[in-house]
Amino acid sequence: MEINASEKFKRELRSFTALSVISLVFGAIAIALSVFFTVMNITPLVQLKPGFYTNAISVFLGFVAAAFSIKWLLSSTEIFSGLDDIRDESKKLGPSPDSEKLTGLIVRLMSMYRQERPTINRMILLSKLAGACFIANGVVLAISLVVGLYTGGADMLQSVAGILISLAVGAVGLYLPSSFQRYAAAWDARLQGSDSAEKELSTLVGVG
Amino acid sequence: MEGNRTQYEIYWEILSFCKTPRSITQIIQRCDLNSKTVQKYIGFLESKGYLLKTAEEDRTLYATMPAAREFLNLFMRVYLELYNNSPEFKL
Repeated sequence: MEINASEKFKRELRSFTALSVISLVFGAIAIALSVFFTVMNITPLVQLKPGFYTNAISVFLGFVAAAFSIKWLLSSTEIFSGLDDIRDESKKLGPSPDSEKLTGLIVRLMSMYRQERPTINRMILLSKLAGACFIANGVVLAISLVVGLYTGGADMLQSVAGILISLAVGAVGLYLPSSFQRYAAAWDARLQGSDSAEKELSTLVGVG
Repeated sequence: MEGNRTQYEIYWEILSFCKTPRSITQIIQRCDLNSKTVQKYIGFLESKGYLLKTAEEDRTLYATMPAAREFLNLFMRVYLELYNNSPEFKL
């Protein structure tokens, strides 16, 4: 059983580390893009060029997305740094692991989850909000492109690239929370199980 | 950190760490407790006969007693089962 639990622990830790890295990378990309979209749209807005309203919406969405993305990145960093020690310890688990070491790691990961649960919930929300801003920006850029095609003032290549990038980052922003929710669901189930484990332990030890 | 663990998890950490006799400072550092709360946990474990205070030269050390084996084994079994029987998170 310990071998199965150990393999499961390692696989799960790898998956969560990968998820945290993806979240970090896309948080950073989201900041860079939101700043880029803001800067790109603020110049024509100040110069009162055609497309004032779409530029104004893009600037607004850029600001909002930047604020959410910064918080998204900070939350991802917090979670990632909390995993460091546990990852190092889990690397020391051999092919036939010591039950005590494995139990120690499970206790530490459970404790980390209890501590990081509010951060994970915050990140789920921030990632969704930032993703929604990018999707909205993609839609605004698409409308702007259609209007530009009629009036003859559109830069097709730049607009299509902007739309695709916005929608791609938006899609990732909306996909990541579902993975974090699955992680949270797995650990919530374990925390519920630990309540009944406590009852069993309290019978032996004799404390309520 | 202490607030993120149950009392049983803290008991287990102290008892498994003290299989080799340890000083109170070592227990505080390893189990991430403060000097006030560690006394509470150690006092309880001593009262149960799970932990024994010994004097070695000038130092006071705490060692896990054979009476704690049942608790340690039950804790490991329960937590390993809990982990093994729960759905796995995959990316």
